[in-house]
Amino acid sequence: MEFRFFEIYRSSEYLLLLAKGAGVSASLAIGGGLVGFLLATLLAVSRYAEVPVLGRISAAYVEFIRNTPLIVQLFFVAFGLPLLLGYSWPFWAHALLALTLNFSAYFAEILRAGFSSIPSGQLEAGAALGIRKATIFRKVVFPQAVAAMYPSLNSQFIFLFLTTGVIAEIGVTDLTHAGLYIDSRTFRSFEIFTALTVIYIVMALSFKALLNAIYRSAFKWRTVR
Amino acid sequence: MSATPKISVRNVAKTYGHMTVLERVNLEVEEGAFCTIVGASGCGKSTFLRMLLSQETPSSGRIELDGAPLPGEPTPDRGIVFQKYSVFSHLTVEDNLILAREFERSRLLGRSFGKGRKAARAEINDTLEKIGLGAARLKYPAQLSGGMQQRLAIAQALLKRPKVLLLDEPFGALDPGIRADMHELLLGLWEELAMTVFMVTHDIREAFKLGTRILVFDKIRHDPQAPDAYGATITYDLPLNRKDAGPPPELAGLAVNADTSTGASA
Ligand SMILES: Nc1ncnc2c1ncn2[C@@H]1O[C@H](COP(=O)(O)OP(=O)(O)OP(=O)(O)O)[C@@H](O)[C@H]1O
Ligand SMILES: [Mg+2]
Repeated sequence: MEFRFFEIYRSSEYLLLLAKGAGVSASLAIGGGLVGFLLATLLAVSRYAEVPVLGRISAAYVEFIRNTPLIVQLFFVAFGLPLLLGYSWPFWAHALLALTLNFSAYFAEILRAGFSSIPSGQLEAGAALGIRKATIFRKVVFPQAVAAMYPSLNSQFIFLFLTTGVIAEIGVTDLTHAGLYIDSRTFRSFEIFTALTVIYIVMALSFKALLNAIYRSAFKWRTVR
Repeated sequence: MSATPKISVRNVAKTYGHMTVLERVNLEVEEGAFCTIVGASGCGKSTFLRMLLSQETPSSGRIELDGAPLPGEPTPDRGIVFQKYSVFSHLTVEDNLILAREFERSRLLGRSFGKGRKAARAEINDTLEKIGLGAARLKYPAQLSGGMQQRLAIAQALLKRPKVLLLDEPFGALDPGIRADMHELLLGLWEELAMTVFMVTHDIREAFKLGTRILVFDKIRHDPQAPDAYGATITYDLPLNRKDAGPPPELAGLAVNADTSTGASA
C-alpha cells in the first residue's frame, strides 16, 4: 500500500474545499455556541429563579435534548419540523438551529450548577446593601458563575464542536462533508481522513487557546494574585 | 439626646422549624452605644444581627427602631459587615463601592446621571481615603490582605452613612497586630459618624476594649432530652467603662471560657 498525501495537497480544488468546509464548521459552531449560550442563560435563569411554569419547561427541555442523539435532533429540525411548520431554509440554517438548541441544553446545565455554586454570603451581602434580587443576579451571581464554570463551558464547547460533523448528513458543506466528498472522488481514505483529523485537532486547540485568552482578559480577577 | 431608645427589642423569639434559637430577648439601646455581643458558637448571635438588619423576622415579639416598627427590609440607615464573603470578589475595590451605592440611586431616579455619578465618585474616593484604601482603588479583593478586605467591607457598609452599624465577627480572621489597627479605625469612625454599633465577637478582650456595653447570649433553660427546645437569651447586660483594665469579677470565668472557645474554633 502506498500513501499519496500529495494528491490532496496538489489539487487547489480540494484544498479550497477543505478550507471552506473548515470555515463553515467553525462559523456554525461559533454561531450555535453564542446563540446557544444566550438561550442557555434564559433556560438556566428560569430554573434557578424557579419561575413557575417556565422553570419546569426548561428542565424538561434540557433533559429531552441531553437524552436524544444530535443527529436525530438535526433530522427533526431539517426534515420533520418543516413539514409541520412549513418553513424551508437553507441547509446551514437548519444546522445552525439544531446546533443552537443542542448546545443550549448542555450549557444550561453547566450554568445552573454555576449559579447554585455562588456562596449564599454573596447574595446576603448584596441584600444587606439593599440591592434588588435581579440586580444581584445580574451583577454578582451571573458574572461569578460564568467565571467559575468557564473551564467546563470551554471544554463542553470543544466537545460539541467536534460533534458538528453530523451536519454533513443534511447536506451542509462543512469540514466533514468536504472530507467525504474528496474521499468519494479519490478513494484516498487514509490520507483524507488523516488530513481531516489534523485539521479538527488544530481547530479544537485554536478554539481552546482563543477561549482561554478571552478568559484571561474578561475575568482578570480570577487570575490576579 | 431623646428619650426614645435607638433600638428596642421586646420579648423577641426566633425559631427555625422545631428549633428555638432565641427566646425572650429584651433590650433597649440608646443612641450612640457600642454594644459588643459574645456567646457560644451557634447560640444565635448572627441571627440576632440579621433580625436587626431585617434580613430575618422575629418569630414572635417586636423590634423597634427610633420608636417605630423595624422596616421589613434592609434600609440604608443600617449597615452590616459579615465575617466573610462580604465583598464581591469579581469587582475592584472601587467597583465594590459603586455597586453598593448605585442601588439607592437606581431606586430613586431610575439611573444615576452624570452629575450624580461624579458626586458618587467623589464620595467613594473620600470613603476610601478615610479607611486607608486610597492606593488600592483598582485592586481586586484577592489582591488585598485580610485586613484590607475587611476595611473594604466596612467602607461598603459605611457608604450609606448608616446610623446603626452591625458587625458580625468582622476581625475574626485577622492577625492581632492588624486587629489593633482596625480597632483604632473603628472607634474613630464610631465617634466621627455618631453611630450605634452592635458587634459580635469571640474575643472577649476585644469585647471589653471596644464596647460601652456588653451583651452575653446564653441558654438559661436546658432540656437534655431535647437540646433544641429552648433558645438562648441575653444573660448578662453590663455597661463597660473603657478605662477599666479587664472584665468585672462576675465575668472573669466567662472570659476564660470564651478564650478557649476562640482557640478551638480558629
Ligand atoms: N436560615 C436558617 N435556617 C435554619 N437554621 C438556622 C438558620 N440560620 C441559623 N440557623 C441555626 O440557628 C442557630 C444559630 O445560628 P447563628 O448563626 O445565629 O449562631 P451564632 O451565634 O452566630 O454562631 P457563631 O458564633 O458560630 O457564628 C444555629 O444552630 C443555626 O444552625
Ligand atoms: Mg455567627
